[in-house]
Amino acid sequence: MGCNLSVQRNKNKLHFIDLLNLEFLDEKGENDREIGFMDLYNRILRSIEAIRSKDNNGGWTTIIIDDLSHLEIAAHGSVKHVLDFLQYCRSLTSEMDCFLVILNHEDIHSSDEALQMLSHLDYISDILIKAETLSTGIAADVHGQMTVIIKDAPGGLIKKLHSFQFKVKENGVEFFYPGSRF
Amino acid sequence: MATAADGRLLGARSANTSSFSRARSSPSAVLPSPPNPGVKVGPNGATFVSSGIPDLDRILGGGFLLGSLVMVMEDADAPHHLLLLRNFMSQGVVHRQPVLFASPLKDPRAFLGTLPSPVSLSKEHRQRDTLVDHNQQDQEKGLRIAWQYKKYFGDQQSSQIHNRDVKQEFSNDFDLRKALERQHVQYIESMSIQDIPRLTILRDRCSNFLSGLPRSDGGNLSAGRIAIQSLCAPQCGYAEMDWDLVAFIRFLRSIIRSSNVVAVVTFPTSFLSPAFLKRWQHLADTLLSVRAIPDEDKDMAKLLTGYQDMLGLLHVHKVAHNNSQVPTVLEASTFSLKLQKRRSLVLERLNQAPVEASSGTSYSTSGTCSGPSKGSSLDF
Repeated sequence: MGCNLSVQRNKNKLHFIDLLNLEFLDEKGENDREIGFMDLYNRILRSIEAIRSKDNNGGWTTIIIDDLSHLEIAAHGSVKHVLDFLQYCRSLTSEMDCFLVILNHEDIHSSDEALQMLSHLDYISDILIKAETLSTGIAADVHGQMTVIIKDAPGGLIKKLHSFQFKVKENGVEFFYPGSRF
Repeated sequence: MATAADGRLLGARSANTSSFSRARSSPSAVLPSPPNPGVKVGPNGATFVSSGIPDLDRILGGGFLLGSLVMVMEDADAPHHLLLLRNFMSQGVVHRQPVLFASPLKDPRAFLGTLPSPVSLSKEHRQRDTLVDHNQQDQEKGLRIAWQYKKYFGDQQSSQIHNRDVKQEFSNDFDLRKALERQHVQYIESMSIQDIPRLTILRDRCSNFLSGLPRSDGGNLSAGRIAIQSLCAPQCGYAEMDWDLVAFIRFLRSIIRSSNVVAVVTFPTSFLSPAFLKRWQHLADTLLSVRAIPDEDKDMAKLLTGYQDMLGLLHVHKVAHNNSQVPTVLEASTFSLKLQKRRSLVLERLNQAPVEASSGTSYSTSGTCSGPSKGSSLDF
């Protein structure tokens, strides 16, 4: 925290792709979505290569997708295309030494088809972090609770499970175990 | 007596302006040009426009954030969202901000005829001071004559009067019984979304509206307002277009983010599937919902003071914030909508009625009330 993102962006450390402006299709053509996702993937790939060519001290690159629902909207709800895209991104983690961080909202996937998306994400993840509001209701001191699940392997057993509570501050986030704060 | 009253008012006003200029960054405070009353600069470089309801501005920490998308969830039983929309647009008219209004009505112009007009300062003055002396009455007479004259003079004259009368404030009280005059309403760009089979036209109108806005010059920020009523109402014929609608909202959000515009979108929740409702809610920067209160709810009436005067409930789900990651935690998230003196809209926190200590029965009834059935509406 306390990192000036716009400076990093000018130094080409941070590449920013605006998902809000992402439009894939004029008409509902299957090909448009594929082409759109391929474009996006290529842009990510190009950015990663640009970063790697600059400092080759074996730095890891992090891809953050914030958030997945925007991709779904851009694809007009085609779960298949989004999952394909994620599979491609996931392949980057091993090929190009990347971290992949995907943000998503759990509650929008309540219908049957969307459940598939959720379980798929759950399966391919190594670490699953859930941030929720406090189960006891809104409080001013504690903003929410967080569950971190670390798995053996994708789809494997749960190795570790932590639960925290957190409070968001101006320059960071304070994590603490439930009840340990005062 | 008159001087004392005037002095008080003057003092109050000067105090206002001084706090205003302090909130702005110091170099711009030096500028001789008066700050735009329609735009307020808050902490963290946030700029606000008023929602048209002073209480709501206060609750949201200053008003609607410029560049944010405000979504209002409608109640199926009551048109309370229209109150919010009306005040929002009237405030824009008073501040001479460009307004775009899209509605599923056949004739949106007719709806614009129902916009409330601001409670003029002189009246306010009279209300506050119980003693009305001759001097002030004369002044008021002069004003009234001026209002009369407005019919005969051109538009400019009226705008001057407008200026002198009410324009000084960031947010006005609006008189719901008195309609805004037609000539002011002309400035609102309106369109009907009923006969538009595709959302691209609405999209184009919004982006045209944005490109037509005056650029902000120097310290004087200019703001615009977009009001969209009942976006997914069935008469628009957007059935089976869920993804298009979500894409439209996302598009709207992306174009206003980099501009000085606030968009208020109201939508009926009952026509959306739960999954899409969640998607809509996540896309909002500020999320409000309005609810009617049932007429014959004896239990609620016993539990809350002033139940008879309540029009409905307003729930604040999410508050937009700028340049800060700290979420706003409000003291209360449910407020009652009331009419003050049967004309201007006020929001109040819910107050629990005192329980009659003598009778055990009333205690038990209120106990059951705060159970799961009503618990959602009562956040203490």
